[in-house]
Amino acid sequence: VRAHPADYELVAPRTLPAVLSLLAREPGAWLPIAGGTDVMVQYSAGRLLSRKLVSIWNLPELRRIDITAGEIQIGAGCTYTDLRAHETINREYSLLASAAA
Amino acid sequence: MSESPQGHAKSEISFTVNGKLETVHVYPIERLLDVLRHELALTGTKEGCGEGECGSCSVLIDGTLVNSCLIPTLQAHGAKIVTIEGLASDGRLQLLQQSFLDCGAAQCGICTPGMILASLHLLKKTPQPNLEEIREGLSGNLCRCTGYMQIFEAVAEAGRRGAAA
Repeated sequence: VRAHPADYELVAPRTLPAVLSLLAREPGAWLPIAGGTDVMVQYSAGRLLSRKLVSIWNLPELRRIDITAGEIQIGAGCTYTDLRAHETINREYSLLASAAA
Repeated sequence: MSESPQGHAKSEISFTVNGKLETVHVYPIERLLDVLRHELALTGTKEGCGEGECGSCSVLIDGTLVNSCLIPTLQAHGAKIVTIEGLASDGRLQLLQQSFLDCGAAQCGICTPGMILASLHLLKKTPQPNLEEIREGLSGNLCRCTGYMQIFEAVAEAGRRGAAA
């Protein structure tokens, strides 16, 4: 059974601070969505329980892979393609790059 | 469709499709695939699995290859979208499309628009791809007819003909 799009609220604040203040204002109420590989599949199948969604797509602060001496930080907005294309991840964590196929 | 009791409002969402500015009045979460097909009558973009596995609904958004079945339309606001309808101009096929024809790379046609957009995306980055690069570039696109070899050959041929130029 397909979901009815009118049942869902989706907002796209333009900045990370605006997203964070929305999440802080109503803790637990909003489901972040970026690429949609899970959320949109659940939505299409009529199985998406969260009715309030906030887009975190196109927020550059979340689309980063930062390498420091001891760790790699992968932003929540990074795509599988970003992982597969990243030189250090391919060299040091090849299983992660393969898993992102 | 019946009105939902707690119905949220539709939004005005604007983007460029194949160079033309379009404004649609849709629910923000509606799939871009459905909006392209039903609101804009661009039925070249196909629905295969509807789960982001098969790549039949591939379009380019700001130059990135995406599955339009996974994109809520709101996320395309302000973006530049290219669909299969945007490739031919003045009734003339692009070199890449002609290569698909010449190599017999299209059979039932459901995967073909996505295959061609994925190939275009690949050729932009890698103008003369080898077989391994073609396999990687088309790894998100499934075909149930051809067995892939004609498709891979069409992309290699398009590279040799200079389709990326």
